[in-house]
Amino acid sequence: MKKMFVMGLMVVLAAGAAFGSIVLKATSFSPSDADFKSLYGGGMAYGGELSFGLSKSLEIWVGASAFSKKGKTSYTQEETSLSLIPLSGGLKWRIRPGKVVSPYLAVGAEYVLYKESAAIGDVSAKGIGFIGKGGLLFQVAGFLGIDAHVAYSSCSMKTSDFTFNVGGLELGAGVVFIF
Amino acid sequence: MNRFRLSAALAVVCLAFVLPAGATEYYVSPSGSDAGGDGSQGRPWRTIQKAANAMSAGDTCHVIDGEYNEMVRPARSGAAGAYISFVAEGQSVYLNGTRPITGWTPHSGNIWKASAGWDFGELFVDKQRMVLARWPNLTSGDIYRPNFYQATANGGKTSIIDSVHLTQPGGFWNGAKIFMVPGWGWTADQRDVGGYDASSHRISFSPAISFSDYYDADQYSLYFLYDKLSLLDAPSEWFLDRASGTVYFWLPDGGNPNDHLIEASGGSGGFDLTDRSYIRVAGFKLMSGDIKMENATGCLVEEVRHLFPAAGLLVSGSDNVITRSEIAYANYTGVWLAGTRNTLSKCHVHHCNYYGQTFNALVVLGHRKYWPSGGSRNSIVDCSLHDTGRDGVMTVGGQDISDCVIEHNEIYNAGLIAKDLAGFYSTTTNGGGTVIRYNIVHDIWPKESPQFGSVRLGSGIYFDVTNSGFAVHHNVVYRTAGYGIQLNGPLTLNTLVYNNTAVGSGGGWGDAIHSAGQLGGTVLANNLVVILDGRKGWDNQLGWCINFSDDVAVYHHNGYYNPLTSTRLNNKGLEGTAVTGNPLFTCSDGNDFSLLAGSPMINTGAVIPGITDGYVGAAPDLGAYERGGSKRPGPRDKWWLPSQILTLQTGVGGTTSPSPGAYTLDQGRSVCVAAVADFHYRFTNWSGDAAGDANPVTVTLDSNKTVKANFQRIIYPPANATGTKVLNRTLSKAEFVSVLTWEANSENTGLNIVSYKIYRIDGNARTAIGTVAATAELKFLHRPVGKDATSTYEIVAVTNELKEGEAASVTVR
Repeated sequence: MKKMFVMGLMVVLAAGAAFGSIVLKATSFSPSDADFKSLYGGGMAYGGELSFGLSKSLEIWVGASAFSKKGKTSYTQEETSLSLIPLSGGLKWRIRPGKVVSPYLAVGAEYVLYKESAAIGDVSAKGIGFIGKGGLLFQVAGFLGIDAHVAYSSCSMKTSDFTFNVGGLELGAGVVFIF
Repeated sequence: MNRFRLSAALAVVCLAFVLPAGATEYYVSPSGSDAGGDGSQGRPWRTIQKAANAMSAGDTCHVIDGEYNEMVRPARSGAAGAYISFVAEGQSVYLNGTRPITGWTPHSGNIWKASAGWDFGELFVDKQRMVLARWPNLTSGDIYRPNFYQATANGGKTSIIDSVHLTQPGGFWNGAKIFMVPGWGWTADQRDVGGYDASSHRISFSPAISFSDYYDADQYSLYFLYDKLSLLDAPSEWFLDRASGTVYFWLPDGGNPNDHLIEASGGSGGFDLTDRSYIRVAGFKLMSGDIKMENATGCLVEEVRHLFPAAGLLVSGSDNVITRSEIAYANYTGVWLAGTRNTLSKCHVHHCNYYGQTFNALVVLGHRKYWPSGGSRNSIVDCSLHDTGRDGVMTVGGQDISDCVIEHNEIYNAGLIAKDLAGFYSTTTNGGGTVIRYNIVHDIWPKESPQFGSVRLGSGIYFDVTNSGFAVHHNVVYRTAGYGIQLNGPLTLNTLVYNNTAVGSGGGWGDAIHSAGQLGGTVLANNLVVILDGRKGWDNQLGWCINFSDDVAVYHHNGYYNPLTSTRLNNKGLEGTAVTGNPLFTCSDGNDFSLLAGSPMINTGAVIPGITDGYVGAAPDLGAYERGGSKRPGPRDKWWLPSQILTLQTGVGGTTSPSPGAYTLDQGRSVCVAAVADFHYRFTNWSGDAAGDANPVTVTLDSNKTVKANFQRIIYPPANATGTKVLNRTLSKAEFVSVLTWEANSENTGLNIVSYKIYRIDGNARTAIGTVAATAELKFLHRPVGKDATSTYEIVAVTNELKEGEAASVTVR
């Protein structure tokens, strides 16, 4: 996956992108799956995102984040731990490019790495989903900005016992390095 | 020593008052001399007869240990209150009717021979009876249970045919004798063999059978042959060649007869009390002798062992008593009790009527020579009467008796030779108020009668054709091949059958009480009639509790129980006062048919004056046992049996019935012992001389025995035990868990329950899967379990002694 990301970035750079940014962000994740909510609830996820402008308003972006949380089994209340690593990428459309405040909308695909450990057994899984988000970029200096966004993702996982969704709603903010 | 002298002096003084004036003590000893003695202790006589000639009322003759061969005839009678007494001093005072045989020489192999100048029918070695040589040989060792061959065709009244066994060459059997149970087997008989035809396998005998065709030697006849030297082919057998006076014998151990005391019957020994009054005979052992008591009055025979009597004991006259005596091994009848007010009490009469003949029994009420009277007010009391060729006790057909009493006897093992008989049998007799009560009659089990589909015709109490005037009450009858109590036709009149416990087998003809013919005046009431055994009867069904095959007697207040088929209680319908249901016998397996508390037969009988007097409770009980009453059927004294001690013990938590303690009982007696647990306890097992967990248990006292009932505190199962199956999950993985919960059982208060143990039950396997401390949350999780699986668990409380209690079972689906 990392190799694919690097290759994608190289493609964009080779295309002679005129605009790019790197975002380091923290998001509050609220899962949409009721069982997820019940067992773990929401929490903070941390990640980053890299964007390149394909045109004045259109960018291509890739990102990665990590979410981990401890919970308890449903009846015996034994400790469990969950970690999610969503890898995402897609297109971002900037509504007012070049302005101090630049809203944007983005859609993309998500590839989620899932791992859960518990007394009743460990499970690792992978799933593909989608993500859509909207946000604002405050360009506070020539190369520095602040990103605020809301995103919604959906990624269904299937194990031998259950099918569940690891997506949900994110409210996040981050520091943007513009180049 | 001083105390002894004082006691002796007092005894002398007492004797002086008791004995009539002038009473004389005489002494007889094997070392004495009639010529040189004077009958004193210092100079005893040699013969008892010498003393008998001298004795007068009140005199006593002391007979010292030893062998005597004489028929003692008292010269005169005693008087009321002043017996002429003959007392055996010692345990081995033999008064023999035997004669010794000496001078044995080898004959062939193990067979020895000697000369005997007289005819005899019994041969003894060291006081033990030997076996007359026969074919087939005796294999049981008991001549009252002989081996027979069975005929194969009807030989009529003069011959027996057996194509299977009679394959010897012609003339082989000439000169022998035949013992046979011909035809329907109502009697056995012996005949001389007149000829033998090998081609037709036929033995001709004489004289011819003179009875009806029922007695013909048909294909069902049983026989053995004897009285021929060539048949002497086994240890213990003997043969007398009457022509030459030579006796041949094979010792049981194959040894030399000269090393043993060999005696034969045919002598004269015993006491002749005929026409004498108030003679007392005590403590003697008679071998093949006689006690003659015809027309005797007030005589007393006590503690006498009268073995192998030459002619049986005939008592007539009046007021004679035979008590605490043994009369055994008679060829025919053991005792005839005729006359008036004669009593046979506490006697052990056994192994009689080897010849299996009709009108012979262990004890016969009456004797043909006194026709038409069979006697009046005679009694048979507390006797044990067993092992006989035909009937146990009987009346003489055609003779009437009156006011006789047969009570508290035990009668068993009748019918060893003949068929169609009973423990008590009467035919063509007016009982005149004779009472048969409180007897136990059992094991009447003759051979099969093929003419009747192989049933066995043996009843407990049997009135066979034309009887009247008997009262039969409080008797117990069980294990009879035929009927328990049989009131046969055509006439059983004015017979009162009350409060008997009749346990029918359901086999043979199988009814507990069977009645046929005219029954005018006959009443059946308060009887407890039960079928327990379960064999199929004559009509291939189980027996009836009461079966009236013809006329119907008056019947009321009877108790019925037939667990085998509830439809065969009374073929004429139950009376309105009938009681049905399980009578709750104390121990039917141990033949204790008394009633346990809660029996429906308790307090449900009718009050019958003279019969149920002294009943306990609101009304008499049904059957022979009155719960709480003091009278029980059966002999009250078996003096001849050594006592054995039964010690009953219990562990903590219960008691026994009878209560714990030491009981001195007759040897051989079977006792039914029940374990009774206290509240919160359970009987677990017997230990000591009993084992297992059967309750009650029957203990047979063939030796001193100690039996302990063990109990266990009941550790009750946990209360409110439940189980559910729950899902236990993470986001991605699931498992199912059986969740078991329970509560402590308050019934276990006082026990130190420290934990609970959980078992999983899988088929017959019980596997411990966990423990929960009693102080913890009473909950157990069994994981994982299949989503669709059904699991069964048992939860038990465990004490600090690691004893596990009863299980609470939980099934989780």
